Amino acid sequence: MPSRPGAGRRSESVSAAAVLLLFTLFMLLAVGVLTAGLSVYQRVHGAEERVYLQRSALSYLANRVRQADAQGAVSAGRFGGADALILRETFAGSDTRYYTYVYVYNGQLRELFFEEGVELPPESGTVLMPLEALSVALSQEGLLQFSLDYGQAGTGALTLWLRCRAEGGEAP
Amino acid sequence: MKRRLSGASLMLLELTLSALIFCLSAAVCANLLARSVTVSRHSEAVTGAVFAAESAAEHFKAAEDLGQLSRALGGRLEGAQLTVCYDDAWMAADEARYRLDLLVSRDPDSGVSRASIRVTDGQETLFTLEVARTAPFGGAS
Repeated sequence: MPSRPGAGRRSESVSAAAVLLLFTLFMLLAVGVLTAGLSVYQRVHGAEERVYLQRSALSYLANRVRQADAQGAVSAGRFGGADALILRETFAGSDTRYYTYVYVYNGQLRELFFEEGVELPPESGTVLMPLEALSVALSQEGLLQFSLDYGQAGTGALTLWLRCRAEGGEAP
Repeated sequence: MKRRLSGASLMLLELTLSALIFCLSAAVCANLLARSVTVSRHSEAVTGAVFAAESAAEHFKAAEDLGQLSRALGGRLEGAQLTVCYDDAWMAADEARYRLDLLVSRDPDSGVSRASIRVTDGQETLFTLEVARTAPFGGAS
């Protein structure tokens, strides 16, 4: 049976339209997958940064305290208008006391090491990591409580018990 | 009679095949992305659990008895077990997103008091910690 005139051309047009439709669908799907991937990546990256900040800041503070834990060597105080962790130490053969202040200044966790009697401004501390606020409190039982504000990354808290605070510096 | 495929039909076939392969790859990628979110959330929860357990252990070492420990941690005491509930931000709360169980026991021979700390998210254990102290601890069985 002979085909009607123009039927072949119509079939070609339908095929071309189908190709165009499929291609559009393909592109939309590709963009959708890319957008979803980007969104997930940003989310995972944000979470990783939060975890990194929390882990680093709290582990750093815990290690600093453990390292310096001697009778009367760890205390809480104020420096640069904010709470500070104060570590005191002396070195063999010298009566001079040295202090390390760990505090937050200008949105940065900082550490400042200096000799007793020397007065230094808070901006001279070494910058460690970004941190909005640090709160340090020492209870009578020797519990040192840290509260950290990471800004958009949330908050964190840690309590440490000073083992050498007890008379004689003995751990129970 | 042989029918020859036109250029448009060939392209349609090729695109259909490409779309199928792409859909398969997209499904695999979506699965991986979903898993990465789960792993990331778990990692965040474990980090919080580690510091919550560490703080509880430090409180156990500093406290004189279970009552003082319970007050300090803001938990609920049932026998020798203390339960503390935390919200998403790891603050002690009534509605539990995370739960810390601290079970105290005492070895009568050595006099050592031990605390088994377990932090869960309601379904699985995130972190466990064993801690001991030689100083007397009231309320330990």
